[in-house]
Amino acid sequence: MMRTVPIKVVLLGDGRVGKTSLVLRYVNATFSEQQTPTIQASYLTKRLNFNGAMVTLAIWDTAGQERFHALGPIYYRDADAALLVYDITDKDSFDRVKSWVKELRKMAPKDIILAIAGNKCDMNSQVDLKDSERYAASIGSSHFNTSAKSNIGIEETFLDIARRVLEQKKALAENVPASTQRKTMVIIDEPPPPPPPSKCCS
Amino acid sequence: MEQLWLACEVWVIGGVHDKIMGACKQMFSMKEKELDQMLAKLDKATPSLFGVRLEFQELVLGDALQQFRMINVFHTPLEKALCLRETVNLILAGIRRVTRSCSGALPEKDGLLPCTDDLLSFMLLLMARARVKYLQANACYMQKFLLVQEDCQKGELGYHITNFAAACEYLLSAEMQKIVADVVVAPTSTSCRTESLEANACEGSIHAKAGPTMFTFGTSHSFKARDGSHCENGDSWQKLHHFSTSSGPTHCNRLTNVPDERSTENPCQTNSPCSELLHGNVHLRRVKGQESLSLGMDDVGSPKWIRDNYRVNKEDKKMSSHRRPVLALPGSSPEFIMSPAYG
Repeated sequence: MMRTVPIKVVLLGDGRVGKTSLVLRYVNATFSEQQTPTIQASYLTKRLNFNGAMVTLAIWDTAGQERFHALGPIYYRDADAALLVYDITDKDSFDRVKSWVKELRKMAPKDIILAIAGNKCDMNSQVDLKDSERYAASIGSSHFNTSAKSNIGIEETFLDIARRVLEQKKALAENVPASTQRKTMVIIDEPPPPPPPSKCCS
Repeated sequence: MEQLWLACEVWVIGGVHDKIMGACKQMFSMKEKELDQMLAKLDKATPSLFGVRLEFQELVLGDALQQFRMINVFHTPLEKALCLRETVNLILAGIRRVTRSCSGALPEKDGLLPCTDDLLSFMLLLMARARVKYLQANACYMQKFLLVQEDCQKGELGYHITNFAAACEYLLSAEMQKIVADVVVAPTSTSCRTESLEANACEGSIHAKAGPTMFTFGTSHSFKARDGSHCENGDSWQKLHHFSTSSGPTHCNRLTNVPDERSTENPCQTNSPCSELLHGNVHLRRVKGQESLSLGMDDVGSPKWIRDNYRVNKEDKKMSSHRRPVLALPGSSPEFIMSPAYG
């Protein structure tokens, strides 16, 4: 039976940037102008067949209120990827992405895959998109222009995340010594005590 | 394979539960003590203190509380995690009832859908009300010893456990300490008889029998929006329930400027959170030399969020003489009592 690879993706970004709309559009193919987060949007899964590999994307929303900000690391611990979402009509939300990146660099797993989504790309941008792409490249992240409303760039964003996580997992597996892969453990016991000296005095 | 994991979970981990939990309890004994002290302080705190939205405050926990209190009865991490999931499902069922009771259009109902912040807020409230022991030990036990699936910590159960652990962490945070230090703990019981408005809400009888009813918030409430703007005379009060009070939540955004609108033609045109919010206007008044904010409400409709969140004090003489209720935040301290304004 083909093994399914679980991939945990955390969604980070300011309130109102459209994180929920984005993920609901991707998983449920729905969009509501007035969409607010739901439990279904707090934790969503999507199964993908990626080049023959079965992948389950587990998409975790994070608490957005300022008062809960310090709890972020609890949510992105063990995450394989983080999708940082900003609203292209709100420059502050892009600045917030930069601060999230700094925090992730300090607190998140070292090998976490980053992706940045400039959402609401169907509207006039207040952020220089070339700048944001340059920034994404500088931190080793990919950058996508997305629109939950017009269903632009969302599929590509999540597929890119899945592809990069799988590539990384594969690279890690290849670099790990075979003995570690087999999860063998060598237990060195105390050496046996020397035999007692012979009492023979011949 | 999953059944083997399950068997292992039940027989092996269940068998050594006492030893492992004993160790966890010992490991977190200091933190548990702090947590218990904090929860004791929060025992009578209002839901809004935890960030629970006003719309959901009357729902409050009900069956979820009973379910959550069983967490220490279960022995395996899986059983405990499932208990947690069931607790959250019961809260969500309550929220769905609130959403269904709002007969508004889809966008308005969307406004009542719960987000991760809501779940976390409810978890905090749950912990404060349930007073379950060994929360930290339980969080550690579930996080470290849930075996049932290799990827369990990334799955749905993992999500619930993470929310639970996050709530424990938040209760011990400096921010929570500060909130507790600032808050005026509500009195345990009211000296006067109170009656929930829920009982007569369906008959719409809470509003004034004659003429418009006005409610004035005490000056202890802040009506400053996050963006720094203040509400102004003539603004619609449709968004007011989002505004923070000195003891309340901070869900909110800005007051939408809508001119004084009393038309009954299109009750939903103010984009109110509930279609029952028919008419409303903000009036700035000068009361005892201080400016305060009044909510004007026509006698044709009573906003559901007021019905759900405020109780009428039947013994208040003002009410009987003016036929207007004195409203108080449930369990609030006297300074948060809303008194009727003068029409």
